[in-house]
Amino acid sequence: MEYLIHLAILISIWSMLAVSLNLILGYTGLLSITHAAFFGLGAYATAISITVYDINFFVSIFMGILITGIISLLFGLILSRFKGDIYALASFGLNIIVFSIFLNWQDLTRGPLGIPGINRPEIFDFVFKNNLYFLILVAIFALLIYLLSEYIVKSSFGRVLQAIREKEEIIQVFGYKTQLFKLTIFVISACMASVAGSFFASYITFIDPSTFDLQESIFILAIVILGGLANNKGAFVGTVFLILLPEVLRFVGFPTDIAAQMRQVVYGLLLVGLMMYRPQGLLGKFKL
Amino acid sequence: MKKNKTIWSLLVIVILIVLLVVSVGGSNDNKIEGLNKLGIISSMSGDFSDFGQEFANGAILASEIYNKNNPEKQIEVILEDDGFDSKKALSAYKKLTGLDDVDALINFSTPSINAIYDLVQSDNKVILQLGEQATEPKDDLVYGLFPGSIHAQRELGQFLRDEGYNNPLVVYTVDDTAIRFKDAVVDGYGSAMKEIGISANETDIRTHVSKIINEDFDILVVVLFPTTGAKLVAEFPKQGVALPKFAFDTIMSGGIQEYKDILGDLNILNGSIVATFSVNKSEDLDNFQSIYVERFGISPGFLADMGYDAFNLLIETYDEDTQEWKDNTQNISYKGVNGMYNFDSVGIRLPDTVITTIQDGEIVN
Repeated sequence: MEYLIHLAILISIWSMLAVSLNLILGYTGLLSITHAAFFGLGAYATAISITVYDINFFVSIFMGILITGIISLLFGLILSRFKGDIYALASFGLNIIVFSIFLNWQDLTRGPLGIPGINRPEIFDFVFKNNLYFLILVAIFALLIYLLSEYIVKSSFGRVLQAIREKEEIIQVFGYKTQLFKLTIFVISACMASVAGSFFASYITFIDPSTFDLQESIFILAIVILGGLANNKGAFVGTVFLILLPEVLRFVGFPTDIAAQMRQVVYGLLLVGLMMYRPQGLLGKFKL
Repeated sequence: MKKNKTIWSLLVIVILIVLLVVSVGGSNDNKIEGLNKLGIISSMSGDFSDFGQEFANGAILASEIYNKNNPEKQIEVILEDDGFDSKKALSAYKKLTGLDDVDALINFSTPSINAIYDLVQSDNKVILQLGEQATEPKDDLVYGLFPGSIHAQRELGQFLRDEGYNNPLVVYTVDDTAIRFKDAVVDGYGSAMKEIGISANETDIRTHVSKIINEDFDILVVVLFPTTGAKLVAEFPKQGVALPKFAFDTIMSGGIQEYKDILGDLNILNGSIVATFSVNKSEDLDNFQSIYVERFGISPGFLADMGYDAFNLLIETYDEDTQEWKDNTQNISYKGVNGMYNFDSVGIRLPDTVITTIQDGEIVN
């Protein structure tokens, strides 16, 4: 049961990341490869708040949102000028910058040594030490983020985002300041990712820079693409598949000395097969 | 619409498979006494997968030999990959302890022990751990297999100071383990050293060597993972520069095969200082190397011997009563293929350090 609860917690955390990235990628059509950076900013904000300043977890979430919001605003001011491949490359570079800061600003982050001893959330003397209670808490936040995302995409703001995805020049003709819209959704998405980071830090109780590298950004990207662009349910489905698939493969009986490598091969083949069968993703409306 | 229904159906099927597998693999109430199931969490994908695989291979080899010699008391080994990632490590741990209900655990990586540390304490199982942990070692249930390199690195630092090296430069892998080792060398030396860090994932070290060449130093202290260290050495002649005087930390001797694979032979390093551990010249070591080659078709690499020893150490110390198990591990004096295993009060393996040199392409020991 503990194992299932653990998987459900991972799904909840990564679905927040996928839903938030979907706002930029799926709905606005911007290939952003920087989401792990915001995931990490939230995680480090929580970790440092709790371990150094003894700040309550829920307050640390807001600290994370604030810090991530400011940094994403600064990044977004640069990124919102670009589109297409240039946007992707620039976001790629920003992820590397943030990762390098996590790794090298050792006075703040302890560098590769990471930050251990991050406590579980506590409210009115109740500590979410039991994983089931933690799951309920993180699932509530995941649901809130999903609902917020749905509200955004169904609003007039969301319609403008989708118009930007379709043809930015045309919507500009109507007087919409598309850079502002791109900037806004980038910041909102980053703040959502930061919340996921806060929960991750508290759940694992230890963080280090290696979790927030480019590979993680690509993994989140893969979830959104596999689940289907411009569909928040698809983001959830993609999360479930990509979190559960490696776990299911643990039970497939390969010889022990090649088991890990074979699982990677099977995992890769399944992903390739899924994309061949559904290039627009499982529940997607259009291709990247 | 029909395709969406298919997708949702697929999703439900995947979830059902997971639930089914989990329920079938559930805890067995009719547990047999003793050590029946061993879980190994090692990095067989991701960073350091080559070392993780070697470590796992060593443990698997030991288990196969044990099971062959003890047909009436087989031990099932379940190997899980953590991908050198804390999230995957936690999944591996939860599966091994929750579903597979293993009696004991051996762990390889640092991200893994950092992620599972609190769980290990609360689950009350002694764990044999290879890599360094982020939390300070203390009197707990974690016993480190890698010889207390902190002690050994300090000895190296002291040796360099005593030998009169006044201007050392230390080059190290930017990794939590190597940083601790580097800090211990500097601590032993007694004053600051010039430092150059090389990322653990770095594949092109030309720039770093160029930086080193431009520095003024009397000895280059190398605290690098074996492959990086070997590439560093190989780069000097490529840049048309003579090799400096080297002092290698304990990692080098453990990864000597990687050095030989990249450099060909080690004669270019004759005269270099090496901190190493007293070599076990017993038949067991020769025997291990030959049976490893027979089983896997290649010579044992870095950490394979410690994986092998970890399994056998567990056989020697395991007890269903955790306190007994802990006491057995604390008080053991076990001669493995990697050398002697004795632990200090905080579970760090005490090293039998030797500061020696390389002569005729071999570490003199």
